[in-house]
Amino acid sequence: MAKSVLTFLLLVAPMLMAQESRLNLGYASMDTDGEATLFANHFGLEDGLFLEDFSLNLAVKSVDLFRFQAQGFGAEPYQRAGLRIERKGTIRFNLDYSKREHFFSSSVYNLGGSNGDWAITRWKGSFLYDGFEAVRLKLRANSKKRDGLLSRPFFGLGESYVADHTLDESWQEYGLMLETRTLPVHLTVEQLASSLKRTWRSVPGNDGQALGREDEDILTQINSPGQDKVTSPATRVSLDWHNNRVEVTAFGFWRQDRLKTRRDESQTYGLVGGQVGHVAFRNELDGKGDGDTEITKLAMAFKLTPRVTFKLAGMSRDRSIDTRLDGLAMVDLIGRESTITLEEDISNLGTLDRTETDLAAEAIYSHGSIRLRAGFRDERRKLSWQQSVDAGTYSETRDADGWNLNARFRPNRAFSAWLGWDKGTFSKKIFRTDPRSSDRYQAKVRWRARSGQLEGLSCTLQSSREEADNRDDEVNLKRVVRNSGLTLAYQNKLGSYVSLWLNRIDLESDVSTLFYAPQLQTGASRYDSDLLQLGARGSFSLSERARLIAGFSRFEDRGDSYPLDLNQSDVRFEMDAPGSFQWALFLQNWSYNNPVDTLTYDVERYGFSLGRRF
Amino acid sequence: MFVTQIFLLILLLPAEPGDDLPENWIGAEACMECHDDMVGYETMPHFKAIAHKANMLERSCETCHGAGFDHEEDATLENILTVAQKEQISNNCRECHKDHGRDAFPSTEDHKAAGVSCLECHGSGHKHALSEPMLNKEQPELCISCHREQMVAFSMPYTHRDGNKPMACTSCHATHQPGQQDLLAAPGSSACAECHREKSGPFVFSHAPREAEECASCHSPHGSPNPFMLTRAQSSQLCLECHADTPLFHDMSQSRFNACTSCHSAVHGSNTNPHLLEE
Repeated sequence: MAKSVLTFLLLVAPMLMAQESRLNLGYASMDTDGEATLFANHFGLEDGLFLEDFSLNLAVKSVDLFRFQAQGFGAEPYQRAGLRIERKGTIRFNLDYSKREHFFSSSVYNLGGSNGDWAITRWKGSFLYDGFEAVRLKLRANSKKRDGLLSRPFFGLGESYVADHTLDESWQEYGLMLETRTLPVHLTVEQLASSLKRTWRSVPGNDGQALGREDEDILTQINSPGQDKVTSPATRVSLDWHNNRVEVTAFGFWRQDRLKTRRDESQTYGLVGGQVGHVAFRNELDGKGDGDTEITKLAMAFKLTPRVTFKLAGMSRDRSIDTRLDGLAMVDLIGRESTITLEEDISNLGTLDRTETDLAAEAIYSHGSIRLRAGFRDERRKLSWQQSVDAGTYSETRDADGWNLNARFRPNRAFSAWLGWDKGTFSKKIFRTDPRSSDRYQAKVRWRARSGQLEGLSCTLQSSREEADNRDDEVNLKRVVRNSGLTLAYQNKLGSYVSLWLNRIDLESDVSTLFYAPQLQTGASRYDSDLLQLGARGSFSLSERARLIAGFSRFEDRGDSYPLDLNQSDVRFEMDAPGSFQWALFLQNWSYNNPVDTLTYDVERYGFSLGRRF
Repeated sequence: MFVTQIFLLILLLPAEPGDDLPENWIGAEACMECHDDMVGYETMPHFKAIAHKANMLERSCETCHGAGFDHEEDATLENILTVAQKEQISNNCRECHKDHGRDAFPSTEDHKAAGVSCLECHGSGHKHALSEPMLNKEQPELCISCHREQMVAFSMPYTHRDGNKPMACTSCHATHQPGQQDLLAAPGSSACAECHREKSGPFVFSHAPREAEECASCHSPHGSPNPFMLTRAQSSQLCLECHADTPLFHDMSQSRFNACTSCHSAVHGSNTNPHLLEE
């Protein structure tokens, strides 16, 4: 199907009354050594015909722009197409389609039987009417669908079992936006309504066997005609006003999420393979939930003098969720001649409330080559929740304040240096991994010897260090992130460029742990990641008609926790041919090595593309 | 070249240069008397965008470069704004782009506060832009020329990637929109929910950190060496840093209790089980 469409496009597109348009089709072959499923998870590329690039600009009477663009159909995991019609100062219409394919196989990891082979398909449409003098009107509609297969473990008859789900999820959103144009205050009001529906269709996975253990009890049947539905009307308002000395912005967002869920589900297990009978767990449950979100923000900037600007901002965020689950949970003990049913009424609830306030002030001094910023923040977060009727209520309030200082020195167009320091202190932790203090130091130096806006040589050197910790009597959190990097880039007037980069991010995190079983034991969860990335990329004009584009990057984690390396390289030779044709040859390579899970792959993808401008 | 200049001049004629111009402005026609290297401007997107507006053609040069009277009298770079004065010239962008909603208000933006001017990312309009909307480079190359840490993240095995390319930064970030932390297009995890709506709840039984700390408490959205873009290599390590009070029957000496998601698979929240044993 894809091949037929692509061939049709190549033949028919140039016949249209087009201007500044192009069509590139490619064909790729792949040689894979090692874990093909892992490569599919990381990159998802396949072999075969694919649409590299299609851009069609049609000369259509009475509109200024009529453009259709598409990329990636065929042997690519991401497909997109878009139609844009525009009449300057009157209308703008956009319709976009995209499809992302996802693949995951946990057979290569010890991740509890999770597997996925699914795709997200999206349609996004918008219509903007710009013909009124006073207001601008925008309508938009979004649709998302997730379908495919998903295998997930769950806790069954005393063990973990696997269920294979056929996904059927859809989400629709509609919006109407009005934006003032002539008022002194620029006001934008947007009303949104969205709806999410999820339906489960499940069958036993892993041949009904318990996950990772030999167990004589077999999962024989799952019935799961459950459905979740969430409707979410939302309102977004923003307001902007400014003159030469003052700027004010305000933002408000309100959303009501209404959840309705129904479960008529059962799981049946064969005891000792069904020889001694069956046991079935059945649920008839109705759940509902009300979630309310409120976000308001006010920000102001005052130009006190030509050199000094003062900024103030305040924000409030509230999120509250109240849920209930009612119904019946049943256990059927199914013998050869009789069935005994045990029933339990389910009446459960959950609550969660989060309230956050944030005040910030910042002063900016700018004079000549110097720019200084100093800021202060004061934050409060209150979080309380009750997971279920059997669980206690947890409530905690955490106050925080912080400073930031930044300085930029830019004596001329070629050189700039930047220094920054951020500090935060917190009154207490809410979650164990919350820090009590954090510091971040940053430095960046950039030198550009440029002859135009982009042409010339540039060099950037940057470094940062981030520390976060909490007290010994809490969980003795210690987290340090060190980052440094160097980038060199050169571009000439013809557009040829070459860039080289070397970056290192070193992350160490320690958190004290405590386990009750098999014996009371304290320890530390230590994560050590030492990331090194180096690479080069360039595009070179070999002649007026020929170009070479090549790149290489190596990513390496040299830390103790999960050492691995991933190399990527590609080279592409492009040639313009008579008749506005263009052809290209390409070669891509990926190699991955993970000694912890003994996973490797080495993939070469090569092919050609043929295109035409018309 | 000559034909192009003639064409440009013809376009400018109906504007009646000199009429209704601000003080010390001279009009584009006067600029063109010397700047004959500006050939082809009328084919560029910036020119096309203003061509339908009354009186804009005549004002097109000085709207960006400032009043030209002094420069006409003494043609030095000291008395006209050039691309070297990015911040000053960027202020003039607002003269036209004030009705672009949030685009017009850089005061509360992180980019503006950091001294990033319009021309750091956008082209002047004199040449064909490499990417829409008039960007100097395509995404993500444009963004990672400053945001180097994100460049490292996007080279990791697990990241938001479209085949061999990183996903466009503007899939999640709105560069001109004030008010959101990290320039996200929507508040907090709502940006993630644009694609992962089914994980954003509400659920009957929430996983509190997802509601409180949001997605980034467990995931590294720009990329990670770890599966599912998690912040830790093993899911158990991630879980047990918070869940230190595991019940007694969780015998941590057994490997089955180190694979938390084998049983507690509904990590984002459950509509049936308070212990998140199934969705």
